[in-house]
Amino acid sequence: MTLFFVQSLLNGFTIGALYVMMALGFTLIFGILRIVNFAHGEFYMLGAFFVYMLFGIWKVVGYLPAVVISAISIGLLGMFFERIVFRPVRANELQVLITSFALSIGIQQVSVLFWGAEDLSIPPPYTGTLQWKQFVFPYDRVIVVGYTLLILIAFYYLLKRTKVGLAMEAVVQDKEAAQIQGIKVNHIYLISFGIATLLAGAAGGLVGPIFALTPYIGAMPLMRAFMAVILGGMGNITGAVVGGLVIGVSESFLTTYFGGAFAAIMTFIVIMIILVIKPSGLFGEVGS
Amino acid sequence: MFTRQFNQLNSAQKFALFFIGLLFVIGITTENASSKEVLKIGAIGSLSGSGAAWGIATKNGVQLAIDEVNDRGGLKVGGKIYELKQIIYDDTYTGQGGTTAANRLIFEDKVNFIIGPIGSPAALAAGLVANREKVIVLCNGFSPRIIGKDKPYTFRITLSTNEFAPAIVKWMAEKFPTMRKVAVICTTDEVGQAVAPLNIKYYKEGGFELVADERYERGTKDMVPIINRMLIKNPDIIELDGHAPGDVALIVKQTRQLGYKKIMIQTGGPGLEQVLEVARELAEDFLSYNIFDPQDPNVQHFVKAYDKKFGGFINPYCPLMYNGTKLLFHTIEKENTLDTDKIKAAFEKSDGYMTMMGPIKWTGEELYGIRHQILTPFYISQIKNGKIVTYTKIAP
Repeated sequence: MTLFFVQSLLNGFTIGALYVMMALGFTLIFGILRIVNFAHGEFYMLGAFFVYMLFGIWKVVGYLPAVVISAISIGLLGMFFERIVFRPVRANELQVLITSFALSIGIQQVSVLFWGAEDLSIPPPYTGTLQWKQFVFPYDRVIVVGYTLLILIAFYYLLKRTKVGLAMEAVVQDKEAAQIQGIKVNHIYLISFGIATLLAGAAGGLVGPIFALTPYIGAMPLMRAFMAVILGGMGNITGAVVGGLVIGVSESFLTTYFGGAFAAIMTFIVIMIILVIKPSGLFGEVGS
Repeated sequence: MFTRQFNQLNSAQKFALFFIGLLFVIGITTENASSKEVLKIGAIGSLSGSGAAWGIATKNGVQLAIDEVNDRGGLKVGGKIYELKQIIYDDTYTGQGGTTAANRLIFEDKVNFIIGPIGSPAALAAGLVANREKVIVLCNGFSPRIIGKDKPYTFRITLSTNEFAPAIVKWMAEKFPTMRKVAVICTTDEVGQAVAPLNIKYYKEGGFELVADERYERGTKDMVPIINRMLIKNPDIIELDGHAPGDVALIVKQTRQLGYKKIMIQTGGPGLEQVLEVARELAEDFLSYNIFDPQDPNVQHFVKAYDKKFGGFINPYCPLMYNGTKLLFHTIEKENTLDTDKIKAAFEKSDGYMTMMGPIKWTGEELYGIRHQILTPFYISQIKNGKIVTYTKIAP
């Protein structure tokens, strides 16, 4: 029974890792640019497909280099979209909302043209399982948890120990004051969007081999990212991490011990209860 | 007013305007000159999500049947010749999608015939809309509620659980006499509510013991928690019943990754090519109900036509939707009418119509109250060494 518990916990961390990476990017974009990016799931999808092409079809690089190249490419693509698509409409919240929906649909449909609508798969980069008595854990999931930790450490370092990270914090606190201090706010917006979409692309590349690929796989991670961010507090980095893990682990435990249908309902009920007690989220500030 | 404005244009602008007008006139007259009337044939299929393989199969099967008719000059009905045109909408494998697609086809496109959907949620929903408007629906979906006396315009043109499950369970009992514990996994929607209980019923009647009956929300990608719930009961057989191909593929992959080595079978589907694509070497030994053998000499003309137009793997539903569409066109021309009441009556008497898979037979009076269920032989296939092989042929 203990092994079963540990297995459920590790399963929860694996899927929670995906939610954390998505939620981080989502909350970063909201926290700094005040944009709710409904196209965020599509960057995750593109990250998975880039790895599919680099590692699975063209076979030009190994799996990890493919994930790195894919993540960086998606980050650059995100910066392109921030500059060309979002910046002109940033002043109007409704226009930003509609634009992000339109971008989401556009990316999806272009992807359908390229890759079709049927399921595809990335060749498994790691095979085999970690096994002890009834405890069985596929290696590819261990890798996801491991690399997510590394990414989180790097992200935290960037935010707290680099000039760019400090500039991002300054812009969040007070945009005008940051400008007066010589911080180029538009550059910070561009870099933030790039980092956020890089995280989504990395998530897609890491998790892609575990699931199947279609142009529509971005919807579920986006929904979970949204839930994690609301739970953790919009714009709060720590909240996004905790929110993602809470949702991932609770999904895993509730499904394993009570079944899928129960888990689907209970996850939402748990979130609603937390929000009733603390409407701004676990780490959100009152009024945010 | 317009004269003054026209005079203000320069020469280039006037020429452009004239040219556009000329194109418009040519377009209109050409359209009129070439017409045959166009008869729209509606189709509904999942063109996105885990059921996309089936939706594309529907689209391609209907199109091949349409091309055959158009290539020989069109459909002759009531002294007119019709050029056929497919209008297909995505049902997203949901009831809501089926309703939306049916509403658009019937009220905007004014179709009288709909091929599809495949998938119980959408087929049930689309059938409700279509039957109110006396539109004929030729669909699939394993739920027993899809056809019935209350849906006189719906015909199921592929087999459903009631037709193939008893024979498959009997085969399993003979083939694997020591494997008796079954775990069933399904979604929480119509498939899980109406289809999985049928499979469970037939397994129990066949002497099997149900050790797990698990449900999950459609759209779930991480199946490991629910698979763990099943594996802890140590089943000999994991039954995937009416899942869409994408979901089957994920469950097979993740179950095998967790070390399960016994039997995995889908008494439903089929979606073998998706399982092979996603699960790769983990798909080895996967068993499934199947409805098409591309090696059969009788189907080679279809295989060649498909290969020429679309290429790639032929999903088994494609030839079935092709057969159903051809039967529709044959019946329309034979009855020389587009009246759906007359077509419906003629359909019910079309036993013996020869398809490339043999003559059709209508059944269903006893189970559904209406003879709108097609009956044809089917196969059990298996994935062996990275290929889909036909294991055995069964007559239900």
